[in-house]
Amino acid sequence: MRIKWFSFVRITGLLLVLTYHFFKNLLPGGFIGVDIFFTFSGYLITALMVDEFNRQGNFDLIGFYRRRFYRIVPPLVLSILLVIPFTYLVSRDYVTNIGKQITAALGFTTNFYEIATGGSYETNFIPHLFVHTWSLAIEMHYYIIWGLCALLIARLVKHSYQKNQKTKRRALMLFKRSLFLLSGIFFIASLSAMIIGSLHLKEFSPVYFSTLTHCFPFFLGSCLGILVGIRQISTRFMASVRTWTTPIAIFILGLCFTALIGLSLTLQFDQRSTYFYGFLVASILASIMIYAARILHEKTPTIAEPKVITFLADTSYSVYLFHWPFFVIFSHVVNLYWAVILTLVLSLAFSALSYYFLEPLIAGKTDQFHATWVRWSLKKHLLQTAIVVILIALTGVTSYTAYAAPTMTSLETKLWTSGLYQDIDQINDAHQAVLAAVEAKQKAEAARKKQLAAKTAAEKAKAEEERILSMIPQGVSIIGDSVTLGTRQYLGAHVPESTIDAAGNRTMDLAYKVMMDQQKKHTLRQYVVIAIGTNALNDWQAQTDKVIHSLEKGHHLILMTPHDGSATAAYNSEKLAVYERTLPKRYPWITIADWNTVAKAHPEAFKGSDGTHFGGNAQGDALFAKCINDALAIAKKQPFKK
Amino acid sequence: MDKVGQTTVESVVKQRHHFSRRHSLEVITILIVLGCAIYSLWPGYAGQAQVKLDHSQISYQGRVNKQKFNGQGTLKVAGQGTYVGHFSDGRFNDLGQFKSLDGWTYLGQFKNGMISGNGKMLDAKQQVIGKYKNGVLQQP
Repeated sequence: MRIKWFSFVRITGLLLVLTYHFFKNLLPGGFIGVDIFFTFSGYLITALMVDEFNRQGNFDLIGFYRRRFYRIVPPLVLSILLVIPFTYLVSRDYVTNIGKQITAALGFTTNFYEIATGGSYETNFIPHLFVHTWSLAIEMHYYIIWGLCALLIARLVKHSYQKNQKTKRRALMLFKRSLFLLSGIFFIASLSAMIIGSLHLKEFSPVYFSTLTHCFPFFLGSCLGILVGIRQISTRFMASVRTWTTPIAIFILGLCFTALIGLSLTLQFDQRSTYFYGFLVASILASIMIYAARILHEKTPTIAEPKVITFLADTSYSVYLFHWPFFVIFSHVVNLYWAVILTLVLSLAFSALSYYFLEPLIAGKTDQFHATWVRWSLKKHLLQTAIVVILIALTGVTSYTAYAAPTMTSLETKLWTSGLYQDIDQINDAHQAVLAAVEAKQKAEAARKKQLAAKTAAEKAKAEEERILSMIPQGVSIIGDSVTLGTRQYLGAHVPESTIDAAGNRTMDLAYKVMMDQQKKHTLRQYVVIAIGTNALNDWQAQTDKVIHSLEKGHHLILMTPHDGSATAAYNSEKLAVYERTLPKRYPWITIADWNTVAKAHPEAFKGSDGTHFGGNAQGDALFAKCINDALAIAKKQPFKK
Repeated sequence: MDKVGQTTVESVVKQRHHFSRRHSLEVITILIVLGCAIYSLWPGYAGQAQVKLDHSQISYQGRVNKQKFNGQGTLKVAGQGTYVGHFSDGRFNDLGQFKSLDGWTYLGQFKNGMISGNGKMLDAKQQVIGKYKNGVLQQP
């Protein structure tokens, strides 16, 4: 017997999940669609258990497991086999560890696998293609445990179920009450575990994925299933059916639907409130929806469910299986809207094939097929053979893909490798610093000896000069902002004996801090290049003067004039450039690297950029480095700060 | 009568055969599912391994866990030198020694790849030329 209008519950869940995956910003809390599925499954399964006990006075566990197995496993296997060939459209990064992912999906352990690999549904840079099977895992765990519970209770109360109507009713009552009590306990335990578990978490995927913390919607559904029933409806429910009118039932359905949409608009995956009450409210709304739909079924004996609604509900499970991997793949091949269209069309087509043809065929329900050619080719074993051949071929492709799949994404490998190189560079730098410190000490000692030996005033002045210089490491220290950062690699290789410290959004006061820090640690080299000013604040003149006055004796200062492609003469950065050009006249130890002029003369170096950052443009790289090197050549002929 | 009886027996036998075949297929599938479950949660390889990175510019010999260098190992970097010591999550961690191709050596503590804690820099003649305390170079 099919209960009409339950399709709405399923479609609501699917709609929320799909919208969430396709347009995350539009419906940030759409992941609660899964909790609607959970509640509905809990309701349906438990109501059917009660029906079975009412009919037979027993519960057939193996039969129950077999029905669940045939419903869940074949579409899952099919979705994996059909998705894998499509992965050849995208980079191999998307099949990283795919073998483990597939076995986790087939073993119904995806939720624990995701917890173990630290995979978050939200933050993974390369999403797992089968991460969405975490919900199947919890569903399977629920079926296994709940089936065992039902069997146990049925065994315990079975003895009082005899042919006598009165004892029969008493046994049923006992069965329902025990089951209700147990599901109530499980519901409270699981919900408490989620709330308490999320208290100390900043990243919530462990409580999101764990069976223990996320199975409570099933048990809420179970309670509802016992209270309402499905074929065998309770007397209490019959009273509701009498008091509710059809418009009320429709209104409640619509109200719950709207409330679920509203909830999806407000909840966020990384907010504690989602775990405190978000999933609970979603499950309660789903329960009310189920209740209203069940009443509406009683109220509309003559109205048939629209075919398209039935179709969408029938295929919803398979569409859920197909949509995520297809969307991940297609969204990296075509634009978002085409990806959504392709995902929907292919998911629906494969789901229909699965639900209306392959699943009945595998379950041995071939009498469902009415088309004569299908019956004929089944009889001749043509269809079976063709399907087996295709399945074997697909299994081959999947096995090979899993065998050849990388075990780490290229991004992770690159970051790891760069990290190792940086660590080695750092030890090399440490060695350089040790050598510089040793050399500085030797020079300082020699200078002190000379100073002591000096007799004339001229000799004393020269010795003092050497002492100052001996304190300062040789070479060039470049302090820059994002413009320098963008050309860092090229610059380091083309300015001899240089170290570069550059960061985005660096203003003159921040550059001053970097310079003072290096000066304190004796790592500031003799030639100091300040390539700052693109982000000039109102006090640019005072900050620049501070740099000039705080630089210790013995250094040369090279000021690189800033260039901002959109700046007019009224901009601080332009004013700073004008000011900097006046400085060498006052301080002979200051040299100008006039990037502002060079950049304006070479607009081609900024082609396709924002007009300020040329990073990546070979001509820009060369011009920038030449500008600094030219200034350094001039500075070498000038005196240092005395 | 006999004929009817025969067909009934035959169909029963056929049905039994059909049932048992389906039954064994179901059992096999369940075993596969169980196997998948165990495999998916089985911890990855942990132990000695050889790993090459960046087109063999970096080569490692030592203990590996969770696909990264974890534990004691030796890392050779082409054109740079060799690190012998402890690793954690793929990076230098705790005590280690880096010997450069030029002959100098750094021996000391690391944390997430950075020099940290105490250490010393030795020149090619194994003479100490610099000392680190809490990750900072001490002035000679």
